[in-house]
Amino acid sequence: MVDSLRVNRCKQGSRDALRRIYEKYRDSLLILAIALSHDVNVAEDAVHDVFVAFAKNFANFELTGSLKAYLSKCVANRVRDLMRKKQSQAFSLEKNCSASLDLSEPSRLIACNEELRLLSSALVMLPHEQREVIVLHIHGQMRFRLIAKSLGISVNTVKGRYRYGIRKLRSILNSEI
Amino acid sequence: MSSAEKIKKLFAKSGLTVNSKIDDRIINDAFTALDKSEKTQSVSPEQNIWRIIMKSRITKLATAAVIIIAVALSISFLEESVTPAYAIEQTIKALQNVTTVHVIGTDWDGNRYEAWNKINPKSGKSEWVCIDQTPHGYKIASTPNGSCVWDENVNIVRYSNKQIASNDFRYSQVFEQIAEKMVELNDGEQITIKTEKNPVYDKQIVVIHVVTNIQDYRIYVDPESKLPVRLYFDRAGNMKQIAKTIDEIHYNEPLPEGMFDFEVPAKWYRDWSSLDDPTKGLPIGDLTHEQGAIKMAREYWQAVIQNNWDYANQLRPVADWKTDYHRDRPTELIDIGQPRPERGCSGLVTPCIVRFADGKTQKVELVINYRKIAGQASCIIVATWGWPEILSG
Repeated sequence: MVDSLRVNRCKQGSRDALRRIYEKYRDSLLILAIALSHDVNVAEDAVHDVFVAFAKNFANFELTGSLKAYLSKCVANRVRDLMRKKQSQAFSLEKNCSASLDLSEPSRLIACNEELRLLSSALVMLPHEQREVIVLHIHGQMRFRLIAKSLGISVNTVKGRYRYGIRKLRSILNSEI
Repeated sequence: MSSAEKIKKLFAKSGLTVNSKIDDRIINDAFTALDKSEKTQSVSPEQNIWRIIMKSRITKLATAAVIIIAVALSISFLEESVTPAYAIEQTIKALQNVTTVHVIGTDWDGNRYEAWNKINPKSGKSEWVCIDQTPHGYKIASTPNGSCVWDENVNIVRYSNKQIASNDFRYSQVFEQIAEKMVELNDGEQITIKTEKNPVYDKQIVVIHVVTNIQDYRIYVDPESKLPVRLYFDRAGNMKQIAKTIDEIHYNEPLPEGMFDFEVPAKWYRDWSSLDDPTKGLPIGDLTHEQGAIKMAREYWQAVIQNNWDYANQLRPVADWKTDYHRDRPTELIDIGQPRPERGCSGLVTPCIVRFADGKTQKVELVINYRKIAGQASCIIVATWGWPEILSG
């Protein structure tokens, strides 16, 4: 309800309402983007692009469900697009990850805690499709049906990806924790 | 622990710190995009309930009831997890069926007042308002075609060709605004909701008790209609200018006949006042609204202190100030603060520190509007912003 009110205020041009939406969901969206991309730069760009697009298109925007789920979906889509643009994806991810997530790195703009680094390191070892479903379902709190709709695939496929992904993560985390 | 639970736990514990440069980049770019985006038209944005409260010292009582109702219901929205029956949609829907609101209550001086609101079903706006505040000697009726104030203190009926009680709000919009406001000011708030058997109504009534740093009030809501039936303030905080209690709230009852007839009682005087009258107000030349407001405040208080009532009346043509100041004379203007805009206020709120004959020092905040008539810029005092605040003495 509060989100719906703020969206309405944004439609009237309220910067304050937009700022409040950003402040409310910033961390959650960045965590989601980092978990998906394992790259703080991609995460920052994804959240940036989503908020800019969000602000740009208020006139036609109608909030029909959870704003968090909507923004999470947008960030996930944007992360996918940004990652596709990266040619040497796997290589750069490994490289960027170790540098960007290093808490001791002095010029960092986003500093992740230990849990996020561990999570991100484990998730990056999954295929993106499985990672996406796990992150959207667990962190984005999106139902399988909604994920399926947003990805344009069947619910069973989503559930399958989730199940396989979780199984893989189990072995990865067991060896790391 | 299952793998999924382990992942959930990791997500829950995940955190990050973000440099403000990132915030600046994202927010600034989003603001730029927002500014360029097409805005939807709102009905009197930012000018709803607060303007109504402060437009006039008299009219605020008329609208207080409606506003308080709005407060009551908005709180229930926030507590929807506790009382799902108070979902905002239900409340807004219930209010959309309200055509008239009649309230009876007491103000902070213990005086009784009565107010009626009639809502235009097409616009959803409360366009007709009548307040009877007999102990203070005022009655006001406001319609889209004009307004009328009966002032028993001086036996004058003042007419205006304007709707001096601005009631251009839709109920649902009011609730949305207050719900939002409550969310954003909810630090330290305590809201408890319970249902209790109420002997007055002889049935179960929902009691919403709200305690904040500055406010403490109870709202009694009929669980069947979802509409408030009573309201009581222990501490009003920044709502102190409104009612102490609303003891009765009646919805959708016919308004008394002749309420808006604007009759002049025998031996009473008739007077016209208009905020658009070019002979009223203070010409300010090239001064800004802010500079003009300060100049206006100074001249107004000097006029009052020097008993120059004609000039004071020119600067502040619509109000009950004259009788107030005959009873309680200002003797010295101590200071004028920085004029400021306020949410929903049509002018700049200009704080003035004034000493009165009884030795008390009060802060009186004038609402000073800017206008341009035939190319001439001028300022005019249209109201005070809430009751005066006693600072010392």
